[in-house]
Amino acid sequence: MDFIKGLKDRTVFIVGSKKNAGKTTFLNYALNRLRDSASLGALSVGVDGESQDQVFGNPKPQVRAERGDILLCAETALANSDLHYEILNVYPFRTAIGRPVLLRALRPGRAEISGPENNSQLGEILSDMRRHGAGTVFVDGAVDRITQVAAGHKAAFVYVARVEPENMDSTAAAMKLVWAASAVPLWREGEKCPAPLTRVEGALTPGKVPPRDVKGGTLLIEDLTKIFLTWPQWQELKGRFELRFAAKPDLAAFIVNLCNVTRADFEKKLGSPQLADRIVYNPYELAAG
Amino acid sequence: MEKTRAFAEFENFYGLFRPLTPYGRLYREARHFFTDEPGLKAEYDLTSAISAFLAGQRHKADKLRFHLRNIPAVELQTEALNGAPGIFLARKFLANASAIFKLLPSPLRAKFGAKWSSDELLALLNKGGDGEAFHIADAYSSELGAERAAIAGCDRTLKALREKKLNALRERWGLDFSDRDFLVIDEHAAARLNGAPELFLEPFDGAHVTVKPVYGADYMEAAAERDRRRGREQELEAAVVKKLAAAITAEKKAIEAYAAAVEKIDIAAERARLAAELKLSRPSVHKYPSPIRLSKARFLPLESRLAAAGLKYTPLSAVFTRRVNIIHGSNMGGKTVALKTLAFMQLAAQSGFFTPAASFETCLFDGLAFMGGAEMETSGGLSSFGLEMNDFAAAHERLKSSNILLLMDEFARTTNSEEAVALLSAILEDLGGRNGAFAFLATHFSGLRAGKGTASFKMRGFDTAAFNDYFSGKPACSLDEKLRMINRFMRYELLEGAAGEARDAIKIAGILGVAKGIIKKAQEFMEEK
Repeated sequence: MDFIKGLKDRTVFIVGSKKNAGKTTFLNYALNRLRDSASLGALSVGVDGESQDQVFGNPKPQVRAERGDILLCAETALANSDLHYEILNVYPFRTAIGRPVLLRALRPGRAEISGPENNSQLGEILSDMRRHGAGTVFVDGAVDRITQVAAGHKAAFVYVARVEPENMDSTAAAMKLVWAASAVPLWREGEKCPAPLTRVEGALTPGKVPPRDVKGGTLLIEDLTKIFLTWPQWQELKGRFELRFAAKPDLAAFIVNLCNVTRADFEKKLGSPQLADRIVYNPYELAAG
Repeated sequence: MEKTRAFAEFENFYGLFRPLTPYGRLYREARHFFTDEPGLKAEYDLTSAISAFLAGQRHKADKLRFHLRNIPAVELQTEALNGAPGIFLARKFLANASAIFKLLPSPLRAKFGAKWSSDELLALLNKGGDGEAFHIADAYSSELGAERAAIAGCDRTLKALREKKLNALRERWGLDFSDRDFLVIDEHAAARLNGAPELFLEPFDGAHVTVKPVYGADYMEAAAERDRRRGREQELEAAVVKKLAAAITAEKKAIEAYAAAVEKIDIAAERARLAAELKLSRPSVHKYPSPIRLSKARFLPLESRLAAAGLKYTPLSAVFTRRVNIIHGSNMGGKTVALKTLAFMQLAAQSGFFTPAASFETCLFDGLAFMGGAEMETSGGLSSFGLEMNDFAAAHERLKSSNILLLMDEFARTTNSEEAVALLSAILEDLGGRNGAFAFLATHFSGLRAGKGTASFKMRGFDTAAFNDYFSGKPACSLDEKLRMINRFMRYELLEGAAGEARDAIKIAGILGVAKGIIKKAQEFMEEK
């Protein structure tokens, strides 16, 4: 099944292996693919200073909107957009680039999308977007913002990576970790798990991993974006504890843009045919033949 | 005042006070403490008036809350109104303010100073959309409409040229650009494309190239025409924004008055909501000094904690006609709670709220000062005794020019009883002579020299007879059960007069599990005394 069609009517977080992984390029691609359905929504979170989509060299990641699309843009960015739009809301939270403005495109055009600064604001904006008729909503670059909405908005995430020879090892390790973590079950209230149940608040860093002499029991982690361990550290932890997530968005796909790396070399590095099966390689590449 | 607020657990209540508008939220942050009688009564009047209006009208109450929640903070400075977002906010403010005012009957509007005169301005702004949305509509400028129609024409041309180009590329080269702005192609496969004028190729990596369509001169001309028209559209939009901003600014005074009225309505409605939900009643306030009368006053934080634990709560009823009051009582007998109830009621009343009591009659103080208590922490090198004395000295100084409600909980309890009694007796005598002092002292100490102007009270204390009836033959129980028992048999009523002062410490120590031998010996010592 085409995984993009499976994103319909969901809140889709597009997270990246690093800056300039090609998230916005993928966002525009996904928006085009879902055009025939209800209004689409798009916003971004986590200003990370990307001035250029370096995968494909676009000067500034902008979203191409069609009439009816609902976008969140910073007040100051509106002057540079070529959209004609109606304003649906102006939020009182001040960001470095002005107040966030929720708008509906009244004709096709491009605009730079923006986002709020914290989870409660994100929740308010997502619910406004839905109220104004947005079906599928894309959230660009939101690695640390998944937890709150994971439960309520049929959340899914797409992991986008740009793989080059110099980052092949680290990207493969990061993807293996995300893949392994995505197999950890969601914790359900009242579920019988091995005692004791230890909750990990916030990020699971090496410092928060229980000492090696502690074995058995269940470790409850907020969600898979809170794991900041290496692959061996994760493996070691899995060997000692039953693991659960408090929130768990669905992993929709890995999007991998290979750059001077062959698919065979990268898959060898991954060492997991099951993981390789979930990868969509170079969606912009024309298939040979 | 912060210490008094903390002692009275007032934040627990204040946290429930959640105005819906940005104006109300600013008011909330200011933490008003009213010291003038007319000002405070005016606040109560507004709460009473809106309570009466909303009582039994759930639909109207919901509508009012809806519009209050939708009120944004309107900014009227030039720079705030120089774009569509600023105009949007002004319109949103006016539309909701107008709806709120219409909900209220004319006499109520007058009470809140809600006088509407901006129909014309709102109608002008409503040309930009009906409902929530707003845009710089064609209705504001015929030229703008024409320009947008031309842009739409450009868009159609561009779309047609693009589709034509993409079809041609698909037919000639087998390249499908639908859904994609570019394609990534193996460089060997791309070799055949080299030199094709309708394609732009650039390296992607060592083995691939990125291919983009070159749309041609006619497309570029149409795009340039669109850009030019978009530039003109922006100029026209800016002119409309300027016109709308001028219209808004011209009514600045009226809009500021609407904001003030909205703030009052928001605050009164929120106080009325709390009054209904927490069963609060309007306090009666008088000029200082006048007696303090409480009937069935409830200290809300404790009431809810006890309810959660399934324990009974006893409201406080008392009349304080003298300015200096001593409250005696046994351990866990409710002395501190009596003081907390007083502090809570006074803070609520002077903050403009109705109070949790069948009735509460009080006078207005310039401030409240709390001293003592087990919660006190040492700081800055001072012991808890040092801190108490420091706080008392500061409050005493304020008495020279202000009327202060002094609340002293187990004051001087950390020093030896002989000196503490002497110190407290001197303080009580001093306070009796200062007209600005209205003081309450909860204490364990007996033998205080209370002057003629001082009133003594005691908590009724432990009901030994009822306890003995219940407890005979019962097995040992958990701490929770013990606390439940103390609560069950402690009588928290406040009685006037100190005669027969409650001495229940030994009984309570026994209930809490101190060895029977020790309890027996302690009782013998007491009898010897």
